[in-house]
Amino acid sequence: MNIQQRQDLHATLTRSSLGDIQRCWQKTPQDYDYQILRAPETGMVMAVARTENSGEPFNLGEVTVTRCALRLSGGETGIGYVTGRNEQHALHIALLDALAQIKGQSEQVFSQVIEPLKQRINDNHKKQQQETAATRVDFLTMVRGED
Amino acid sequence: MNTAQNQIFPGLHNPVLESQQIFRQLLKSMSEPGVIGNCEDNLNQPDCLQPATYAVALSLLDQDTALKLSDNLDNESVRDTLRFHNGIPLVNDWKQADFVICNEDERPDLDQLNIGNESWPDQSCTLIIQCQSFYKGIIYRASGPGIKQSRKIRCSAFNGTLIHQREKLASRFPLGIDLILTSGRDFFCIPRTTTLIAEQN
Repeated sequence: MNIQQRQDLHATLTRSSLGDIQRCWQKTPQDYDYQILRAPETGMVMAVARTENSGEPFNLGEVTVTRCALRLSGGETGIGYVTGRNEQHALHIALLDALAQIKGQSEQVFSQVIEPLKQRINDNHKKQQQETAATRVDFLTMVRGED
Repeated sequence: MNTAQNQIFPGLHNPVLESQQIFRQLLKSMSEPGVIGNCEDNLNQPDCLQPATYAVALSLLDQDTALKLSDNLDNESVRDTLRFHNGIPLVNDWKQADFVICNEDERPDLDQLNIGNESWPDQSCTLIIQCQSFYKGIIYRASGPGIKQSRKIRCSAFNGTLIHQREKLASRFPLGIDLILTSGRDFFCIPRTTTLIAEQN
């Protein structure tokens, strides 16, 4: 797993709901032998924003984030970050992150879990865009013909 | 990715509650020098650290406290673990350190450490010494603020050199170095105000 794949994994898992992850992934954390390095904990992270991409950065507000870190018996360390307070969600992400680092298991994680979830996110996004497009209103300006 | 020598160890099981419990005991031991506190025995610490040292480090250190480790404790595993849990900056210079963790046989001289300055004597270094035992060595009689008359203290890290260096620093009060002694799951504190006198047998 290279850095881009790992970013992809985290981006997909954190955007998916825990229910969706569990539906794609037939296993549960109890099936694995791992040691918790940092038990799931909830805290705040300052979200920094700027107006129109060119304005000065300012603190938009704090976002609730839950994080978790664990190590598999083989030594692979996985981390999980998710917005909100779902500790199980963070734990699942950390475990999948660690499993994807095992040589030979990475493909399985991606084909079984990440790809279907990614497909689902894309489908939802498309559906939402279509629904939005259906309600589109074009505003026209009447020209008075002054010139 | 992670080899046996280079691995991150788990921190406190319940970081909020346990670090508060340890902090409260440290506070008691700092204000009543020589009172022994102890940590839970559920810790899984890096090999070269004792449970009490690890518990104290996890409770006291954060991103604002520069830490220096003595040579025998300064390995990737300890560094990575403390960085991971506490986000501490590690320094190589004794003088820059807010906290120093060392074994008793590689203790730096007290005048190598930062003793604070006249405006901010509280910015001095706190020295955490890992000891072999609290039941070996010369018995010392401790007296000073927080001790009603005197209290007998025994610790394998106490010797003539340390006592002499502390006596020399005493004239610089309020500047000085506070000590935290750890052994196994136990720890106690000797702040700069405590006087130690060897017991005559």
